[in-house]
Amino acid sequence: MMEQTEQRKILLQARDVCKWYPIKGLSFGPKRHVQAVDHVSFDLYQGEILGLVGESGCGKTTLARTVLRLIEPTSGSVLFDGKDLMAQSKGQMRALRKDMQIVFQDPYSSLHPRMTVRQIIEEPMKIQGLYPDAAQRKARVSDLLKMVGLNDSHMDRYPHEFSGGQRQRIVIARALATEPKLIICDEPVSALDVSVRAQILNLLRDLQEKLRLTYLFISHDLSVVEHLCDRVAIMYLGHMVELGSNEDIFGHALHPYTKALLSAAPQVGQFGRRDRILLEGDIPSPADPPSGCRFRTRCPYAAEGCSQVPQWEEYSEGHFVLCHRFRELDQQG
Amino acid sequence: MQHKMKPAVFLRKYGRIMLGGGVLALILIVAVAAPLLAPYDPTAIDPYSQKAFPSALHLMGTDRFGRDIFSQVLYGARISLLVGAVVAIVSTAAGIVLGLLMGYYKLVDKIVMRILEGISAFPEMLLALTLACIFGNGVDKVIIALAIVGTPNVARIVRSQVLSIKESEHVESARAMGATDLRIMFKYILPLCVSPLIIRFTTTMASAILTEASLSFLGVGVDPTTPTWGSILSAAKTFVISHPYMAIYPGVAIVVTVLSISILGDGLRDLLDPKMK
Repeated sequence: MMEQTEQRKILLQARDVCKWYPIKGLSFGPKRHVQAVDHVSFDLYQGEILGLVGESGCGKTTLARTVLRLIEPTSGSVLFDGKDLMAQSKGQMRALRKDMQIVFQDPYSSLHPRMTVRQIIEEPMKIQGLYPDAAQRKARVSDLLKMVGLNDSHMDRYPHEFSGGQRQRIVIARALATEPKLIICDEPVSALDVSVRAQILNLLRDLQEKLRLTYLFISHDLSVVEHLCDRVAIMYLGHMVELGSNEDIFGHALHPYTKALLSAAPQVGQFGRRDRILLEGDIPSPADPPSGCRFRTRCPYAAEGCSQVPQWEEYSEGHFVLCHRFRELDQQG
Repeated sequence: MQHKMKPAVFLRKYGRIMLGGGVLALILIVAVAAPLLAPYDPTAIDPYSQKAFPSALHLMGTDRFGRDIFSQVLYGARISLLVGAVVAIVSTAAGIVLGLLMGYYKLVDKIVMRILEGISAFPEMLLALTLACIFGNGVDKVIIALAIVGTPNVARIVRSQVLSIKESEHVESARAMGATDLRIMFKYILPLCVSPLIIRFTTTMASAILTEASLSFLGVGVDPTTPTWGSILSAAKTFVISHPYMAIYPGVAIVVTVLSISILGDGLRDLLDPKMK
């Protein structure tokens, strides 16, 4: 875990990242967009795990892919290790990918079905021109397999011969092959059986500690995020609504949406009535989001002023909120 | 794979491949060994035995110039198989390249797709006929014409495959590793398009053989002095009533060849379809 006193180096800095998808069709009027990610800014420090939480469709995955420039953002900038990713040429970007990797949600579709495990794990090394010697490469594959809890006997098998958990281990081994600094984990355990989730999560945490990795960990499972992450960001409908340390979010949440989210998570050993904040209605369409604060249509505390665009304010050191009324609400308790 | 299969299961799985492939292999051997097997020179005119009915001397009879039809059919297999195979190879290769580019790059798709749609708008036979007329007689020219006709079909199949495969996470993870577009196309996408392509290969081959025969029948195909199944048929057309054997044997040769290729393709399709296993 991250020491607060340590001088924290920013590994990835996202500023005002937007990804809008144009809506196709015959419409006359102004061109409409799905605002999947809208003006999101955050810093990711070297060696930390930042959790990114939100409902399905809130833009978590789009944000992750945009930050890696797997999707071109509509606007905004991303600095990785001091380099502006948006200013890199295609070739430069390919070389930079050595330092950033992604683990996808579905281990069944993220492995090439006609390659052996060895070929799969060797691919990033070949692409990045690492370990040009075949024997060295094989030794590296063998090391990586050991690191993720597999062994050499798995090397010449095909992905379909493995279980979901084992496949995700292969995906992780592949992600580690180029010794990246940043790994984005896009819901790495949500496609897995509950029984293997903990194993994969522990593996991810062990690797992070051992290799001093930085994770952007996307999840919709609050218990996983609380257990694993140093800092947590909450997203709602394309906006980041709250960002803070693990204690800030789980101990002193400020945004009404965060509070509602936390109150919805089941807790062990707590029976009877809880103070659940029930949100009414459905999540609005990102093609036509509410003006001003996007949460105001469902927010129990919405007031007139909420139709204005809220500011991304810092409440305490490193604890940011996107809400007009968080101060008064905080005082009310 | 050592365990024994029940004969019924084995037949259902490999029966068509063995039947189609076996017959095709036989035709191939005949085509290659035509000079050894043919009793006569297929172009030699024999004025003393014109329009002879099938006999021990001339197994399939002779045409109006006294040329031995059996020998002509044997030699004709060479042209048919050559045209079929080369057209299938060329249009598959061209279709793969075009299809990959179209599926991968939207701009290429917009431009090339319009051209291919233009080509496909013509009935295949008419287009082949027109192209063959423009290019003139000759095996090479017929092959070019038929390859142009066959390419759009292959390109469309590859394109549609690419469009769906390129969205999958294994392609995205290749991009995240920093793979070049070329590597992604040929290593991550193409290997997953193989089974529809194999089937398309056999259909292209079968239809090229048919179209070549039609072109030769119409007199715009291969040089008229070269015996091909189509040109034998063409020569026979005036005598179909009086001497039907002249048309029957080359006709049967075409049917058997095309049928064996189709059956082979069918068998391959089912074998490669994981849901049929």
